[in-house]
Amino acid sequence: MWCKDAQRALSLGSRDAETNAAVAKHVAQCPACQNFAQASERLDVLLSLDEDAPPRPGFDTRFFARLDALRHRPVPRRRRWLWAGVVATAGLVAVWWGLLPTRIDTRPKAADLEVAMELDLLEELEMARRLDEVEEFEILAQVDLEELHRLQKDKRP
Amino acid sequence: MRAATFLSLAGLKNRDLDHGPATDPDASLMMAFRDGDEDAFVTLYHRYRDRIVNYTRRLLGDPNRAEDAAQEVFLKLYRARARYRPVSRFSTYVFRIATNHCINLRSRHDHQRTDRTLDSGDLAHSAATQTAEVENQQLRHALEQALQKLPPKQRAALVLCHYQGLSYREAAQAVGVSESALKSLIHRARATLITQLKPWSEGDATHVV
Repeated sequence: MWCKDAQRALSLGSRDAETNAAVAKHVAQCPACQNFAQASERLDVLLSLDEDAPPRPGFDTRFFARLDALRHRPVPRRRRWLWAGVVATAGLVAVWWGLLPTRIDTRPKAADLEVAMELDLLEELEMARRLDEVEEFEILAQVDLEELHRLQKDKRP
Repeated sequence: MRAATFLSLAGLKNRDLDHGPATDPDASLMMAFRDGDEDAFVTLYHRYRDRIVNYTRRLLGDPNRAEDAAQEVFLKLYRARARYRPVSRFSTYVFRIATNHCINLRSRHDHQRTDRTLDSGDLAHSAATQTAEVENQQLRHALEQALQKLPPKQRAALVLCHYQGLSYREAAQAVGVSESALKSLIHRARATLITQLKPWSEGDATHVV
C-alpha cells in the first residue's frame, strides 16, 4: 500500500476489515503515515470544539414574518400587464372568429321600406327604369334600320 | 398485482417507492405539505432549523449572514413544494438546497469574515480556568478561520459528513458530485486543515501526501 492510499483511508474512516488490516500494517512501518494518523486524530478533537449552537433569539419570529409576507405577496405588475394582454388578444381572436356580433346588416329594415312605399318612391323608381328604356329607344330611332341590321349580323357568331 | 409492477405497466415512475413515507418520515411530511398540509412544513422547520443554521454558519462564517441564509433555505423549500418528489432522503434534499444557496452566496460576494475578538468577560474566572477557556476560544477561532479558507465544496463535504452525519452517498448528492469525488474532497479538506492547524496541534504532520 502506498502512503497516499493509506492517508486517504485514514481520512475517510473505517472500511472493510481487509483494508483496515492493510492500512494498519503500512502505518506500523511508515513514520510519515504514523504522523498523519496522529494528526488526523487531533484534527477530530479540534473539529469537535466547534459545537452546534441554536440560532439567536427572535429567529423564529423573523422567519415566520418573512413566510407570512411570502404567502400574501401580491401578483407582480408585470404579470397584471401580461394577463391584460392575454385577455385583449383572446378578445381580438374571438372577434376575428366571429364569436362576437360584428356583421353589419345592410338590408333595408321593414320600417324603412314602409316609409319608402308611403312616399311613392317605388313608383318613381319604376318610372326611372322606364325612362332609361325610352332613352335607349330614342337612340335606336335615330339609327338607320339597314345599319342596325348590319350591326346585328356582325354580332352574330 | 404488486404496486411496483402496476406502476411500471402504467408507465409511471416508481422512484417514489424508494424514499417514500415508509423509509423516510421527513419525506412523508414533505409530501403532506406538498398536498396542502401547512402544519407539516412547520414540523419540518422545527426539526431542521438548528441543523440548517449551524450548517450555513460553518459554510459562511458570519452568523448574521448564516441565519439569513438558513431562512432563505426554508423559504425556498416552501416555494418549491409543488415540485417535490422523494427521489432521495429529505435530509439530502434540504442540504442540497442549503449547499447550493451558500455556494451561490459565496460566489456573488467576496466574503470577508468578521474577526471576532475574545470576549473580555471570559477573563473574569480563575487563572487556571481562564487559561483553558481562552485557549479553547482561540482554538475555535483558528478552526473557524481555517474552515473558511477551504474551497466551498471541500468545506461543504467535510461539514456534511463530520457535523451533519450524512453518509458519503447522501453528502455527494447534496454537494452535487460523485461519491468518489466527495471522498477526495474530504481527504483534501482534512489534509489542508491538518497543515493549517499544525501550530495548535502537538507533534509534526509535515509528511502529508
